[in-house]
Amino acid sequence: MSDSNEVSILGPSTRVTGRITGKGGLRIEGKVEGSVEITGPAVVADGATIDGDFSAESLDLGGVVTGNVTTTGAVVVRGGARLRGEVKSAQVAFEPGARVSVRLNTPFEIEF
Amino acid sequence: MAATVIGEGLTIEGEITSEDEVAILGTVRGALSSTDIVQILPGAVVQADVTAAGLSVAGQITGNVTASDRVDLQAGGRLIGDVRAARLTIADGASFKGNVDMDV
Repeated sequence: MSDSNEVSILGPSTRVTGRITGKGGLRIEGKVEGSVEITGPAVVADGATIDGDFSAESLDLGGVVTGNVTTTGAVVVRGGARLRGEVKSAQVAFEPGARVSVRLNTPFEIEF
Repeated sequence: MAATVIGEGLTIEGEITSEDEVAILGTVRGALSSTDIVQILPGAVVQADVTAAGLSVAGQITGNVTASDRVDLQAGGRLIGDVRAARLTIADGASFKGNVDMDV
């Protein structure tokens, strides 16, 4: 995991229209219209919405994401969360109650 | 801690609006408005017009600033742009280039 000192938070009343890039972790509680591209772990909290492509080390989703999601680590879609788009990730989990409309791309090799 | 924290490694290009306190340690380009306090902390680079209730600058900002209450330019802070605020303090060691309008 990335350095926990480098954590950014976009609070519930905060709305961003544009592009978010950078290092470190990010917790989104508000609204983002645009792309997110970070190297650290991301949390999209319950009540948050993202309309745009999303790339991070990992994604813990409790809110709503409409866009393509790419992670090197895990994507966890919590119950009540919504996700629409293409997901490219090594590990994906959908909890009961998650509402998803996705095309999944999890690269793996079948061994015999 | 502020409800919104733009951390050291983060860059936001575009428009940011908030109704909570915003603390910036990273980079912001575009426009930023908050109905609460905005803090531009040491190391932060802001190239944006900023509207807030109160603004404190200890990092660098290039852009016009409007505050309904006050602007505090702290030691080490650097502000290039016009200031429109009822109250303004400029600390020893701060840099400032621009016009001031206190709405008198």
